[in-house]
Amino acid sequence: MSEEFEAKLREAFPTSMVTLGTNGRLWVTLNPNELVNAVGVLRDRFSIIQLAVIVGEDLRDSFMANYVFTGQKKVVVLQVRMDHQNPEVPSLARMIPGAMVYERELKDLFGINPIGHPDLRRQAVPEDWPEGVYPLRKDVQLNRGEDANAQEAK
Amino acid sequence: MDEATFNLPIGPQHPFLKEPAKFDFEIRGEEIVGARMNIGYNHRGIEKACEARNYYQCLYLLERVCGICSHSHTTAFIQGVEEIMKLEVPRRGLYLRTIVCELERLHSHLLWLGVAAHEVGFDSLFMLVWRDRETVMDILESISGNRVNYAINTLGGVRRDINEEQRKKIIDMLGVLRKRLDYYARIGTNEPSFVGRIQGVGMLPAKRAAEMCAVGPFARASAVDTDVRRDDPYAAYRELDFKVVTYDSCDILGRVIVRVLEMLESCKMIEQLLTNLPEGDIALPKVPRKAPAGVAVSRYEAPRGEDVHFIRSNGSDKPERVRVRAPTMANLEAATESVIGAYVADIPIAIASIDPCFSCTDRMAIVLRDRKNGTRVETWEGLRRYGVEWYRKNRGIRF
Repeated sequence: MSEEFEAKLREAFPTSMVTLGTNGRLWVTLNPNELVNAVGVLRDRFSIIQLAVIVGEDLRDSFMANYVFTGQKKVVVLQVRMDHQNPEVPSLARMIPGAMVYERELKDLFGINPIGHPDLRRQAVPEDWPEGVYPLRKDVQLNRGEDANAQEAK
Repeated sequence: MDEATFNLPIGPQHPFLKEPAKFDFEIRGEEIVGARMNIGYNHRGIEKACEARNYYQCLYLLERVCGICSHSHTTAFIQGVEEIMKLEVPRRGLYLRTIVCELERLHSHLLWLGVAAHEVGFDSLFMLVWRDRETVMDILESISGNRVNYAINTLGGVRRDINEEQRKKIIDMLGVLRKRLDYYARIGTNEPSFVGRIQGVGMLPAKRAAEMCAVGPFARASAVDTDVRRDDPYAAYRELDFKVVTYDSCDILGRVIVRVLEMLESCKMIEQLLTNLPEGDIALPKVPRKAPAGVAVSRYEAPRGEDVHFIRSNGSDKPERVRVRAPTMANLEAATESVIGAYVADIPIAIASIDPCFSCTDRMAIVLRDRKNGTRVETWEGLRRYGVEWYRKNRGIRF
């Protein structure tokens, strides 16, 4: 069943890379400017509308945002790769109101800017958190030393 | 904000799973006309901390994401790691894991039903329900040794087995519990005072619930037919016979009905699991310390809704990235909207209806800013009493 669905996804996203991962999860790699379109395709052609979570990742040379969509007993992850200098994605808040909380986290924890988000108050970090420090980036260290094991061994 | 509306900030000091939440209600007279929420006051950095710990240490850290659904988070995480490591968990291990899953759902729903009864002033139901919750806690203690944070999961299986004597005792205890649950199902759905407080309150239409990405019993009470246990079966759910409970009233009454009927389903599932408990090992004898590079999206139906863990490994003994999406996170936005149109007296039950963690609610302060009469500070308990009084005066609902 997954193979059949994979073929349909390939047809719907001819310019993107579609891979079948473990446990039937499907991964689609996109450019930031293709994202809104792709979400529309998932909604209209496959009736997949439930956005489970947006996962930000720091891949050291670039950033990645993983949009995990569930529905119709399937899991489709839209992966958007961004430049490390100026990470930006279009906001999905207008299409999916539920995306707002996750996009605020992307901004707070990774400094990925969701363009067009209506309400970018701080969410995951305190109001007095220093500007421009994004805690989940790999170059930000835990202030008690980088390795919890080493810490405990001392 | 026009002249006739007041601002009613609630929170942030009340613990919602990972994060306490702040609500800003705009009220006109008694009616709520606008709502906004803010969360993140308690971001503990668990996701960052996981990146500096090995998989076993992460397991114990993630057990402490939430006190009520601790087993949910470890199971969601461990399933992802087992998927990356390609471990085949023995069937008895999976069955025991699933038994604890369902017991946790029972205790969480019973806790919620008690809280919901208390918020509307039905304290006798609250006490009865919490008495019976002790039965579930006793079973959990006899299986795992702990009342909360069971620590039953380990990579490749579970840490404790149950013997024949325990198995029989649990089945007996469940029989008693089931009779009581039948009684609560009748009370919760027919008692006129209780129904009068919750019917037609906190409406969330089915279409909105889907758009706002709501999950769990909260979404199922708005006729959204979603349940990870059926849609994407994990552990032993593939071998179980159970119904997904949905209801289409879209109000708090629906959420009570869905949760009560789900508890009856859970009892049935645990009985099935215990009767068909396979023989064999409970865990793999040897599990590698390092996970090959890979990525997994793990889904789990926690008592409050779908719990999603995203795990990326990099070949070392520590994960590269762990993302935890607790169900309340998905429901907060929808819950905030469902309060619009309700009365101030409905706020406690409407927010409680998504089943957030409310262990410290009595310490919460509410500031009522009234332009004519100045500012007044209320506690959550005060607001609850106000709600009970308001319904007694205006609707004649007495318990």
